Amino acid sequence: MKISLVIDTSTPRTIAAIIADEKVIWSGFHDGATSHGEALGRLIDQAKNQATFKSINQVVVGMGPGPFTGLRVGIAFARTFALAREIPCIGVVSLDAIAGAASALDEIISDFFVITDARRKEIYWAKYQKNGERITEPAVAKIDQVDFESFPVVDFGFPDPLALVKLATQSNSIRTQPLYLRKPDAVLPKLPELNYRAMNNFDLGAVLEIEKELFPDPWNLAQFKEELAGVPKTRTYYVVEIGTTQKIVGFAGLYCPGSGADADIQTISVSVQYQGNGIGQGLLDLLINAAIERHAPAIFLEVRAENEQARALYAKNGFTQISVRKNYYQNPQPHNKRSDAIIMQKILGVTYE
Amino acid sequence: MSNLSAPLVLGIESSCDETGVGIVQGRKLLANEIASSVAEHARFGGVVPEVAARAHVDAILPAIERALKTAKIKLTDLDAIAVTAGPGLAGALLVGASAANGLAAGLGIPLYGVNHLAAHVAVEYLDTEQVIPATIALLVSGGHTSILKVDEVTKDINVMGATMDDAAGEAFDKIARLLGLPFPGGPELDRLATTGNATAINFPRAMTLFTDESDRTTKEFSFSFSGLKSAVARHIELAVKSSGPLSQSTRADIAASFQEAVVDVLLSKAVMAAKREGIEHLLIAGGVAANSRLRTLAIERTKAAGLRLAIPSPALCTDNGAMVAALGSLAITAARPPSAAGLAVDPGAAVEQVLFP
Ligand SMILES: [Zn+2]
Repeated sequence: MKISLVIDTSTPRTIAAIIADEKVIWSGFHDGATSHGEALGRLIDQAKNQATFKSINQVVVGMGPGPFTGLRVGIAFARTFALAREIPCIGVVSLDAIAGAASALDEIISDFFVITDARRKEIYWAKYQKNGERITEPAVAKIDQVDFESFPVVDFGFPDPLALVKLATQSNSIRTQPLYLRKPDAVLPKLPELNYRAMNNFDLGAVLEIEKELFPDPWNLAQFKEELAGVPKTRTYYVVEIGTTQKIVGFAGLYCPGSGADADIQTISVSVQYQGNGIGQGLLDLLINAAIERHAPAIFLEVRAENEQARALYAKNGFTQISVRKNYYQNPQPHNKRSDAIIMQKILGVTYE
Repeated sequence: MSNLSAPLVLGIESSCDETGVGIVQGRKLLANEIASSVAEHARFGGVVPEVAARAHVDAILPAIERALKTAKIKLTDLDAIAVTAGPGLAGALLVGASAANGLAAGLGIPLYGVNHLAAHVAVEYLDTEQVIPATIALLVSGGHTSILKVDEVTKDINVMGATMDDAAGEAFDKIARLLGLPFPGGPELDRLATTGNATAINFPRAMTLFTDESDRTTKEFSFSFSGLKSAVARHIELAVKSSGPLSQSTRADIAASFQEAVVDVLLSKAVMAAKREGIEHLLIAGGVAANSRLRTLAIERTKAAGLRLAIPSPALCTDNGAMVAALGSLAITAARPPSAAGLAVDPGAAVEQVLFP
C-alpha cells in the first residue's frame, strides 16, 4: 500500500495529510500567511498520533507556484523527512491540485483557469482542460494582464491533499525545483552594452568554458566544430559578448535546414554570473527570427525538466509542452538519476512558398 | 536518548549566506560541511536575503549527506537535531528550521532550536576536555559585533555591549569597496593592509573616551563604526582630489590604518570587559576573527593583561553547523528540554535566549 505524507505550503494555508492509496487517513490545515513553519511543525505533531505515521512510504509535496518564504518551508521539510525515512519525495505543481478538485465541480463544463494570490497585486495562474489537465505552464502576472477568454476562473482555492497524491504519478505535474516564477528582489549592477553576433571557430574556447560551467554532460570541441560546419546551410549560431571587453557571456544555436522543415533549438546558454539580464531572451529572439527567415513552420526545443527558469522563458514566448522524454539527460555523480526532457513547440504560422 | 554524556547531534546553520551542517558526538567534532552562496552574492555586491534562502534550499540536502559521509554515521544513529533559530535573516533561518524539523520528525528524535551567537561561543569547547570556564566572548563578523559575558553557555549569557550601527565585518566590506577591492572585502583588505603602515593615518577610535559618566556606563562596551567609515571615506576623497588616483602604497596605508583603528577598539573593550568582570578567559569568534592583525594584537594584549585567549580555527570561527551541533550537545548534557513542535524562528533573537522553547 502507498502511504503518503502530503504537504503543501504554496498558499496561505499550511496543509498536511496522511493518505493510504486514495483514502484520506488524516488531514489538517492551518490558515495564516506568515506562520507556515510553526504551523507545519504542529500539524506533523498531530500526524504522529496516527498509527500509519510509522508506515509512511512516500512524501508528496506541493512545489508551488507560491510566495517564496512559505513555499520553501514545505519543500525543505518534505525533503529531509524523506531523507530521514529513506523514502521518495515527489514534488508536484500545487496549482494542478486545485484544478484537480475543481474539475470535479458541476460548474466546470469547459476549459478553466486557476489563480492564486501571488501578493504585490499579482496572481499565479494556469489554464486547464475540463478534465483538470493543464494546458499552459504556470505563470505569474498582474491580474488584468491575463486574458481569461471568458472561461471560468477558480479563485481562492487550496490544493487538495488527495489531488496532490494523484498528481505524483503524472509526469506533467512532477517538478523537482520550487516554482518561484519570480526573480529574487535584488537589483543587479547594470551590464555594459551587449553585442550579439554570429559565432565563429575562434569563439569556441570561451563557448566551451560556459558549456562546462552549465551542463553536467557538456558538448566537446569536436561537437561544436561539427555544428559550425553546418553554418549556414543547416545551422545558425550566435554569441553574445560584453561590448567593452568582448568577453563572451552566452551563445545559442538553431538547426534549421529550410525547405519547409521544422527548426530545432540546439542550445541557449548564458554564463551563470550574467543570467537575469535578459540575455536568454535576446538570444531566443535571434533564433526565432532565423527560423522565420528560413520559413520554418514550427520551432521545437528540449529543456531539462528541472530548469524552471528556462521553461518559464519559453512559455512566455509562446512555446507549449507537447511531450516528455523520460530519463533523457545525464546528471553528475553520485546522483546518477537521469533527468526528463520536456519537448516544447511554437507554431510560427509561416508556410513555405 | 541513547547516550546523555556523549550524544550524537547533527546541527544545521542557515542564518545568513552559509549553509552549514555539522555532526558532533558529545564534545568530539565528527564533521563540519559548509556550502556558501557568497559567489552568487558577489554579483550583487552584498548578501541578498532571497538569494541566500534559495541557495540554502539547494545546498542543504547535499550538505547533510556529505556530513554523514565524513562522520561515517547513518541518520538513524543520531540522538538529536540542533538548528539555528535566530538571530539571522528570516527567510534563511526558516529553511534550516524546516529542514531540521523534517529530519527530527522523520527520525522521531528531539529538536533543539539554538541561538546563533551562543553557538559561536559553544564551538570553542569541541575537542577539549576542559571544564568550561566563565568567558568574555568578542563576536565579530559581517553580521554582528558584540561583547558577551558567558557564565554558562547553555543558559546564562548576557550582552555587555554591541554595535550601535554597522557590524565590524560590514565596515571592512564597505571600506574595501572604497579601496576598489572585490566583495567580500574583509580578507582582501587584510591582505592589502599587510604591506601598509598602520600608523600612517590616525583614524578615530569611537566610544573610547567619555566625558559624561552616564554615557560611560551605558556605552562603555558598545561599538560604533559609522564615524570611522565616514572618516576613511573623507580621507580617500581628499587624497584623490589633491593627488589623483591612489597609489598602491597609499591604499595599503589607508587599509592598515583603518584596520588598526577597528582592531584597537575591539580589543581594548574586550580586555576591559574581562577585567571589569574578573573573568580570565577571552574568546574571539566570528568571521573577522580570521583577520591576521586582530589575531596578532589579541595575543599581545591578552598576554599583557594576564588573560587566557581562545580563538577557534578559522573554519569554526565563521558561521558553521558544527557550532550549532556543539551547543545542542551541551544542552543535552546539561539536561535542558528540547524545543516543542512548531519551533518558531526569531530573526531578532537576543543572545539571552540561548535555547528556544
Ligand atoms: Zn555568525
